[in-house]
Amino acid sequence: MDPSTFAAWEGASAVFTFGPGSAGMWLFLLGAIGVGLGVLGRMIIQENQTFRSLDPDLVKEGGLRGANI
Amino acid sequence: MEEQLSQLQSTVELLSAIEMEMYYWWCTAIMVLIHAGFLAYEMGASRVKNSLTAGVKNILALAYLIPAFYFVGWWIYNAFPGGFTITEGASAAAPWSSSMGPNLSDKGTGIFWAAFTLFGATTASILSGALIERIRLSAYVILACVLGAGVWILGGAWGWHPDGWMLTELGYHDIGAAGVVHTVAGFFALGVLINLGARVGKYGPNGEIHDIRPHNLPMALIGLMLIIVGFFGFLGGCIIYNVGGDWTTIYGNPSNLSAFGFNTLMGFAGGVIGAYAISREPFWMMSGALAGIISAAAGLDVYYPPVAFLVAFVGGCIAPIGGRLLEKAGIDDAVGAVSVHGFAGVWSLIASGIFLHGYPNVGDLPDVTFMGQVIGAAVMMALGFVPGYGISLAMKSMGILRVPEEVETLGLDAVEVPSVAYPESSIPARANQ
Repeated sequence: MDPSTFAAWEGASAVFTFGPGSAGMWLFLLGAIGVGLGVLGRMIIQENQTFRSLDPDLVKEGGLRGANI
Repeated sequence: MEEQLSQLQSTVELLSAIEMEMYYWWCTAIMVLIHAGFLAYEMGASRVKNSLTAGVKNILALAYLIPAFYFVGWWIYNAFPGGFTITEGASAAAPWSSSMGPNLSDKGTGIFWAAFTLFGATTASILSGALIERIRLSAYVILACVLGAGVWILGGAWGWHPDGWMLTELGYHDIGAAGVVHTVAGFFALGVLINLGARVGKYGPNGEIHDIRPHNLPMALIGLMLIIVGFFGFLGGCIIYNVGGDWTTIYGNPSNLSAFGFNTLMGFAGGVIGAYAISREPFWMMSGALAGIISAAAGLDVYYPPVAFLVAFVGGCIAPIGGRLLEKAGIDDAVGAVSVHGFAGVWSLIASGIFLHGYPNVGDLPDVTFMGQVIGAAVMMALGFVPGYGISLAMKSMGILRVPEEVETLGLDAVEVPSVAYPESSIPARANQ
């Protein structure tokens, strides 16, 4: 997979890696979407886990100190 | 001689195209200050226990919004000016198009995409402040992407596009994006707030209202002033630099930066003074500055500056009054975003209907009319509110909208952010383990 789609700058138009419509372009486009969605999904899982396993001492300490409420 | 003239003309066109790129480059850079401002504003407006989460929320929103707008937002803008049918040729704005990356023969797409991306990020930041201290980080990121890369830009395609149906059918005029950005974002936030509910402690058992104070009001005020600076980039990005021609608005009528200079500053002043007259609170005064500029935004290109000042004055009055009315209605908008952006945005469209009624549009397009502007305001309100309410209701029913009550009581920083805002203070804000 050659990321360069042109041999000379003269007359070149789209100069981005892999070039429009190429397999490389689709691979990285879908990869970027996947990474964004994957991290978002991980964020949701991490939040769920954290909310389920709150440290009781932390809850107590926060409550006792008023935690600025 | 002819050859020299031709060469000269080519050079002038090239320089003009480069200048156009530079102009929008710097507008975009200045717009980043809006997000620096929202960052400081929302962290300052939060209580200590939530301050870092408020900041992380802003940083992540910008980071997620940028690729989301690349993937779908720019295509939506180019695909839907006619309503809900896809315009021919819209695929040129899809992420697999040859224009959607470095292209030596296209000086426009990337720089306009960048400016529009920052407009979209502004809508996400408008939403952000209203929801602080109880929304899940992940829920906010999802809502920010829906609003910033989907909902508002659909409004942009309809009412902020040379072929948008609101222009071609209604003569809609909204040069500074009071409707397509501020009204849509404000009413989207209202829809979400209804489902999200108030912060714990905001209302007493008998409905009495408790004031939840910012932990750092000076930082919030500085943030608001940074947003004002960023607005100059935002509004600068609202005028069209035509290569080889004079400035126009996005609707094609002639304009210039002088008009924007007069009325942006008069809008700022009117908004501050209006909010001061009503509330005398510094928080509302700076919010009034935003409301003032937004109020003048729809007619920025043609208002006589004292008209802009008085329109903004009314907008500055509306902001704190609207904020209090919402509070009494049980809507806990932590920073007054619905009032400042939503209500002032609607007022901007109504005021422009009053003062611009009969102004011509270019070519065969219908004139600006009061009814056209009012209908436009209603469309923008609905476009923001309906998806904001609907999507947040679905998220609420799935249990992924709001943090549990014990987490809210503890503070979001302790569970969302592996860092501590003020480690040398005695206020508990421990890192996530």
